[in-house]
Amino acid sequence: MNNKRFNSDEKVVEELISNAEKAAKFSEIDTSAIHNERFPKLLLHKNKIVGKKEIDGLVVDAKETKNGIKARVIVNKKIELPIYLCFGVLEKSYDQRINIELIAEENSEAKIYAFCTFPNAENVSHLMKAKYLLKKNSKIDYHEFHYHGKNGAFVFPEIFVSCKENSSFNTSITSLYGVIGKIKYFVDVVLEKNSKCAALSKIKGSKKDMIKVIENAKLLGENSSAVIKSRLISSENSRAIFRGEIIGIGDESRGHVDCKEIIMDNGFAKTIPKLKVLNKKARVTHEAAIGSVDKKEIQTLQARGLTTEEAINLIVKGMLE
Amino acid sequence: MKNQLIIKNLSVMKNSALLIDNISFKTEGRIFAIIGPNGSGKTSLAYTIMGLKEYKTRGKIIFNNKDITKLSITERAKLGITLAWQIPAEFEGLKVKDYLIASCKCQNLKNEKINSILENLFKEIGLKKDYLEKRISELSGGERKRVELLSVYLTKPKIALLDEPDSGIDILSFKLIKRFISKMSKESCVVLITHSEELSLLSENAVLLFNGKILKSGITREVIKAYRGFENE
Repeated sequence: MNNKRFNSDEKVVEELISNAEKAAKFSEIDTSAIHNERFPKLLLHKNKIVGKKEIDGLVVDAKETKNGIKARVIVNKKIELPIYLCFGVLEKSYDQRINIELIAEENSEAKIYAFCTFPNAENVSHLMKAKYLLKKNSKIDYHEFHYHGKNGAFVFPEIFVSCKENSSFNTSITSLYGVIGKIKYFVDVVLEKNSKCAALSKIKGSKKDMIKVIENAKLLGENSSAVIKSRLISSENSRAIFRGEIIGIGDESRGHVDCKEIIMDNGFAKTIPKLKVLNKKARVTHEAAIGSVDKKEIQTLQARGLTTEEAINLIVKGMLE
Repeated sequence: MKNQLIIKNLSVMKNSALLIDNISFKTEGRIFAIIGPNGSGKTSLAYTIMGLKEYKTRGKIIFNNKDITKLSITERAKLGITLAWQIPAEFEGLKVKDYLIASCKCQNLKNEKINSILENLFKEIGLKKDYLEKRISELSGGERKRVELLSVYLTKPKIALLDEPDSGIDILSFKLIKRFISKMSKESCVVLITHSEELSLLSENAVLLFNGKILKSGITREVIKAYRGFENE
């Protein structure tokens, strides 16, 4: 990769957006809106800020420091437009570090799409530590899409979320295209009275990818609830491990862990749903399955003229949706 | 005869059990019926014609003068043979629309064209338009069955093997299914695998299977008569 190519921030932004499109391929996300000046955004290349747009109700305070990017995002009101975050490294080697703090003020609401893209990575690491505070009656939808190119990267996002009374947090991570490399995705959510959380991970591993997803929810408050769902595909020689833990503490709190992993070729999968109930009025359940793609489903699609590979791709696509 | 299946001295085994024992017949007409009681080998025969690997065969299956006995499912599908399963697959998460679009693959249609085709077909088979966006796994057994028939129709097959197309279908929808099979038979040769006397009477010719053997073949009314007589014995 010629570094000169990325000397201009404009070109970098173009590349980041083009890779965001690859990460969110076949989703309903309109990545072309990142170009639009009306839309709020924060664009980071390596440990540098290359684009930022605030709007009414959104404060984005980001700084370049010697330890990487430090950003504080405050959502003050209900924001209709989605907020776009592009975190990328276009070079072959780099250590990207991002520390982000998000505060959703009382009664505020926002939808955030984050694109973590490392298209040319050979020796790229991306370490992100995020702390989200959702105040009373707020709602945050945070959806992360990854694209790690042909060789993969080392990616370690850690997200700590505190949901105050009546707040709602929906999150997902999607990494379906390209080679992942190594990913360790960690989410920890603490839920207070009447707050809700839904977390979904959809990751497809290939080559020698190592995938580890750990998602924890602590149902501290009365009537709090959480659903943790994972759909992991482990193909070729990749390894996928999922651990979902829910602790029911509050009265009438409800939790459910639903993990399904599909093994293909020489893939390896392990799934560990962990449930704890510390209050007899709480209820936490789980369902877990590891298996191969259903033979009858493959045969049905073959009988419509699809090849085995086309059939498996369609079945997996459905499962990951 | 065009689009004819010829079964020659066919025996089928699965897990060392003999399911079909040296049968021979030819499909005749636009609709041909394979009838017989539960466990007679009808579904095993359909799976064998479709090419499911777990059914080991001896003998020959010939389609349009080509020996297809050794071909894979996809190869047979590309020659124009397809199957509607008695119990259709659930496809967790897959949308009805995506399944049906995949079934149209052979037709090379543009998206707008597919949408209008699907909307019209949904009316004919008694499904609401918004079912296109539903997931197959969310449908009832009867609804899934109708989607399965649509999927078969959309592949534009030369031979459509329909395994118990009326199972799980309510009385009102039965008429729609019957009409749809007649429509299908204008473009494809339909091989009906059925218990239903009413459905089998759509065909002119049939075979009666029992314990993996053919007890009677010929005009459908005659075959049904033989089946009734056999049941009364």
